[in-house]
Amino acid sequence: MIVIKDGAGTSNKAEVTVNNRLKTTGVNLTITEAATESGDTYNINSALVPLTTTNESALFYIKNNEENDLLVDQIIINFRDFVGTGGQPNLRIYRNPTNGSIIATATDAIQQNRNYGSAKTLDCDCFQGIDSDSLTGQDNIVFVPLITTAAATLVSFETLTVLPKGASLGISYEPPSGMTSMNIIVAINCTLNGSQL
Amino acid sequence: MIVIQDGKGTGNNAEVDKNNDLHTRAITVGEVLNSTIRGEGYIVSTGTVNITNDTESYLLYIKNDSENDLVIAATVFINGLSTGGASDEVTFLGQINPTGGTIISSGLLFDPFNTNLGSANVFEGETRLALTLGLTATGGLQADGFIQGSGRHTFPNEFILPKGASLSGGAQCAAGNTSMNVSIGYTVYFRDSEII
Repeated sequence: MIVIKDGAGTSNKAEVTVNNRLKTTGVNLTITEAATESGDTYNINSALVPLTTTNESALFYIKNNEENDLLVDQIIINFRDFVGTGGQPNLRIYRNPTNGSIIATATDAIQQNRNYGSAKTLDCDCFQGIDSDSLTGQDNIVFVPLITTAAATLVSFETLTVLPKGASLGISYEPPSGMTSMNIIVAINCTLNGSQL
Repeated sequence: MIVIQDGKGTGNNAEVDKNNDLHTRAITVGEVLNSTIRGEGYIVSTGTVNITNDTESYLLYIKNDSENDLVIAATVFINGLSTGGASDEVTFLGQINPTGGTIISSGLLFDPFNTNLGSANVFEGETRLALTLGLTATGGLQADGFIQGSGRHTFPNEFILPKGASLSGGAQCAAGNTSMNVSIGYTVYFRDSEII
């Protein structure tokens, strides 16, 4: 029989309850909280992109070049300065796109480590698009209709998408037909699943 | 009596406090993320559907053919403003285990979006999408809800579809409606039998 005693040198000993459970006081972290502690979470976003057409525009692309899985926790769409007749815009999430003008032009998106004391950077191809940029070669697309084009709207939703090494994700935005001009930012929050699991 | 030591050799020892609690630290992973990492998570969605009437339309059908339970982790219903309708209210149609209807007989078979972008797994079941309005689902248990006003409505309630079970979702707009965009989406995953 063993008894667990305090490693800090007191005479305290771990208790087992009447229901035969070891009594513990635990700190539980989500994988993202733990990864932020180790400098493995990132915000990646486009610059403020002006749109003046109602074409579908590929505005964000990321390909994971790390050995470990990249977890996309959230997609964030932020738009403002909307001019025109409102309506419901469409977002499209592309699964493994391989080509298109956003990839060919390869304008780097902005990468920020969410642990401000960490010097780690994410090994990825991550590009931002412009009005009417395209994505092609995907193996699936999911449509996500948005509700409004009201000014300064932040749309954030959990996605829990996983990108193993070599996998890619694209995001496009199609304004409502009455739009004449607007500005938009597309961003993701992501977690590199390194030593956490 | 033992002291739990750090296996890395740092010299750190686990604490037991004055309440006799062993201090622990754990990283928790939700079942949705765990299933996504395994390549068993999917998004099943209609995309945008323009409803031009005020009658019932079933838009989506899901059936589980896997030995593992299919968990509906969240339901997202999105609707815009109605043109011509008495209000923006929508009846969100749900039918559990439908046995017939045109959504089953003539809905378009499609592949759901696997949320692990490196996974080649395909959905083990049947998913169908309405290409026209007015499709029906019959023979099951009706479980409708009301959506008041336009917006993005997320229902985090969990449903489980064991092997052979099915679900169909649809919408009916308010009287007089001639145009409203709606979308129904489900975040689903196959439960890992090893964690039960």
